Amino acid sequence: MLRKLTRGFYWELFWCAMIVALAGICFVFSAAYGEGQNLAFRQLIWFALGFLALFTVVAIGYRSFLNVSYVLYGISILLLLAVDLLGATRLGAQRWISVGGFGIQPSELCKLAMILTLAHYLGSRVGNLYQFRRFVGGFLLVSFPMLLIIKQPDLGTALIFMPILFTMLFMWGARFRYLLGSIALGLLSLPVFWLFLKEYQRRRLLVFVNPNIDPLGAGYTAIQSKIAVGSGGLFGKGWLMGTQNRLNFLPEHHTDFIFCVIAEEWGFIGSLVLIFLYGILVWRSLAVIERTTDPPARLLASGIVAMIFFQILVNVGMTIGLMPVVGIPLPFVSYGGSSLVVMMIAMGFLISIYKERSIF
Amino acid sequence: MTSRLAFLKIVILAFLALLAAGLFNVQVLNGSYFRHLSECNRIRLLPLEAPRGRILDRAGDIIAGNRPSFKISVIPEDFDEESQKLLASILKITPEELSERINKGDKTPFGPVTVARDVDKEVLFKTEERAPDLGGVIVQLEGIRYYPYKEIASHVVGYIGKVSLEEYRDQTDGRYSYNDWVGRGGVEAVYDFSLRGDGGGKQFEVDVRGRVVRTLGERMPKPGDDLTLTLDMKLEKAIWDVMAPVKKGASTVVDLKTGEILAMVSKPGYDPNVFVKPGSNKERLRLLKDSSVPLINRNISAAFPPGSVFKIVTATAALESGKATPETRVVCGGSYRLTPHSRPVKCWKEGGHGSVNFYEALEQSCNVYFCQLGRRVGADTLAKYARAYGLDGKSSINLPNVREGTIPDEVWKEERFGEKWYQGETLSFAIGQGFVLVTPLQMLETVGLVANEGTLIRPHIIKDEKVDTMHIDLRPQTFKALKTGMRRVVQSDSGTGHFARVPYFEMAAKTGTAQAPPKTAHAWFAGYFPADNPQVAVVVFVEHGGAGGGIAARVAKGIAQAWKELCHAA
Repeated sequence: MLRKLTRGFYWELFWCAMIVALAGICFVFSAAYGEGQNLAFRQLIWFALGFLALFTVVAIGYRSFLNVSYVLYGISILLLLAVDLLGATRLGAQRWISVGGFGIQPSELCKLAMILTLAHYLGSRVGNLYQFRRFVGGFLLVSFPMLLIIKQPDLGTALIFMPILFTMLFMWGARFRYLLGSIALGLLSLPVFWLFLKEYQRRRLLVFVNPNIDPLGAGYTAIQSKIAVGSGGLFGKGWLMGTQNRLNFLPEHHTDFIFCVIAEEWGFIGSLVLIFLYGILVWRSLAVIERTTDPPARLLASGIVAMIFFQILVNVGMTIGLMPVVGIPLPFVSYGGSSLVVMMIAMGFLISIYKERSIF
Repeated sequence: MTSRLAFLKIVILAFLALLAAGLFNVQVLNGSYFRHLSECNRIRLLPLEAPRGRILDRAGDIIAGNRPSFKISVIPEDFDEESQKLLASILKITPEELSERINKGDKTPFGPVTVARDVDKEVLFKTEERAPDLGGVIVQLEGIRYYPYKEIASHVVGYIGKVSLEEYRDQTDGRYSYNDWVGRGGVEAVYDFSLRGDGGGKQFEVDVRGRVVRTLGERMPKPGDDLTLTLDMKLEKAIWDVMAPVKKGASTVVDLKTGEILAMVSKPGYDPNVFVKPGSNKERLRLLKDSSVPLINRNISAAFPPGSVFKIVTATAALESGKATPETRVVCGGSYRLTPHSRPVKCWKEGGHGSVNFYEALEQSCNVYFCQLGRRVGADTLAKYARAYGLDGKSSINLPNVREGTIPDEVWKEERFGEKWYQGETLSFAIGQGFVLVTPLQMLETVGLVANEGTLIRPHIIKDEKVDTMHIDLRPQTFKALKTGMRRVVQSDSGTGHFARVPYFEMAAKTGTAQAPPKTAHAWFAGYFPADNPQVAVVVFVEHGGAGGGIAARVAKGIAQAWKELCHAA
């Protein structure tokens, strides 16, 4: 049984993810240090759960998940609606539903269900026939959960859907004029989108252009996170020594802004090592795409790579002012069970694809 | 597919390189600058309050404004023991008391805590003088809400208070900041959103001693919008003075052509300044606990039996339903019995009025006559016409706590008490006693509708506010009969309201004396003037004031004189 499970296992990717995740627990410990709550321990429990989930996915195999992807899609929509009806409001947004004392965040689960569904929908029809119809179909599939997540409101998670969709369409072989045309259409519809944003979300975007317009609210975060990252310097202040973090200058420093803590305590060297680790992780994941010939599997892997990569890009980018401030967790590292478990399951899919390539 | 994968790889590599370059820029190239900022924790945050919009009367006279004052705040992290001793001596308190004030304040890291508001000039100058020795001490200009008219128009304007912890916590739109002011009564509460404006703030860098080095970012506060009311403060003040003998009561004057409320007085009043002036807790508590409930606007937030003023409605019902004409005569023997065995309803005049027609009955407010009419039309028809005048609902005026009127009928009584309607109750109903309750503003609307013969722009308090028009559909001869009768109430020597008579023009009105056992009756006067060309309508209500023809009519006379003097362009 165990031998069957580990035969052809993608150990390089597995260890890479484990190293980042375990380092992440240390970072959570530091970020929450002295606040009385043992968040690192809770994160460790979530890690163990994710570990189990990873091997379960590998044991079952990714194909079974692709086959029931529409069911998973339906369930995640229902969960999002449930959040709307009975979700807990934390920090002004309804994102969580509570299961046995642990909050789960359906929007995280939805990301994965979405990628599976798209992979299944697009992957079973490769080729040029009816390409436009498929292209529009992909957009419609994404738009429904995306609108529900925007409504929560969780702008960051909703926005990450777009690069994922585009990467998958791109790897699927969509015509360039479709891709460029939809981007142009998206840019033209931005003013409409603006109307639906909440006041604080507008401010965050405006602050990205000029941090000084709102020094108390969103601009405050932008300035303080930059100070935190910058003050780390070349070598950092050392583990548990970050003053910006310790003095509560940063909001959500154990979740969305955990990179500030890392950069402050470990300096440029530490940040670079983490970026490098992420680079290896992404590279190993890309290798999965090359090794399989199963079209849905290639798309599934592309979607997962896009999810991980763009989350890293936006999360790290916003701490140094390269991206607007939106709430997106740093993969494997930010405190939060749903995010960690979803990332581990995603690893399970990649390993499963890698393992089962030999069928063809 | 392979070429697309290669493209994806290049994009990913490029972005990772961009992140690394960005980190290099922030951490290595600018690292020492940011380290400097963070090590000394030199960034301070100072909220800037938005000045609250002013409330003006129709002539632009300020009813609620902002008085400039100075407050002293402390950033605890920059505040050392030396500074504490010094500041305490300037404020003339002990250092312990000062640290207690600091500990009580809002805790945000490196945020200011206010320790003294509205400080006097001497303290201000001393603080500024010693500024070099007072690290971490900030002097800020602050607008304190100021109501120059004090008690006058207090119920319309309202007052402001601190936002409660629950309101702050449960808000969804981020409107309030911690310890913010919020409108609590009158238009201050209703128009809080537009009056409050949008707070700003300033982020600045300080040196080791807590002194400001430079400003990093600033958002100017957006002042709140001014609000113009329909009130005429000169008239309001004159009526306030006229009502000096009234302990508890209400009076409203409305312009019949525009529906604008020119004056709205409720007694007792309260001084809204006590809710904002530091150190007036005792006075504030007294207002909240006073048994005469000074915070209530008696024009709209309390309902009373209307007494004989309600006879306008009974008369309308009888004339419209054809159960009586102006020539209908009834003999008043001083009391009226439903059956020979039931309790008599007494007429106020000992021995009775004798044989009276409609005009005489209205003029002299004959209870027996209107009991007869009430019995003829029945409770349901009375209720129907009371509703047509809008007496059952709420006046839709943009002020908080508008009270509903109560108009009883058979269905209402069954629902409310589970009992059937007794015929005797119809008699009480017809003369405005028993279950029926109305607010003074509703009575004003009733006479306004009669004066304008069926249409009245809804009485309102905000200048240029879009309001609907009230309607009552009655025959012209009904209005004519009502107006003739109401004119005689004041102008005839035997009319109950003749104390209100003024020499310049004729007045039309109805008085009321509403029984409120075991205490003295409530006095009512509701009317309009000039009788031949109605310009304004007025209601006067005096809680436990006795006969309506006495004190209420005299107040109405004073109001008519003030209006002639101040508002009537001859």
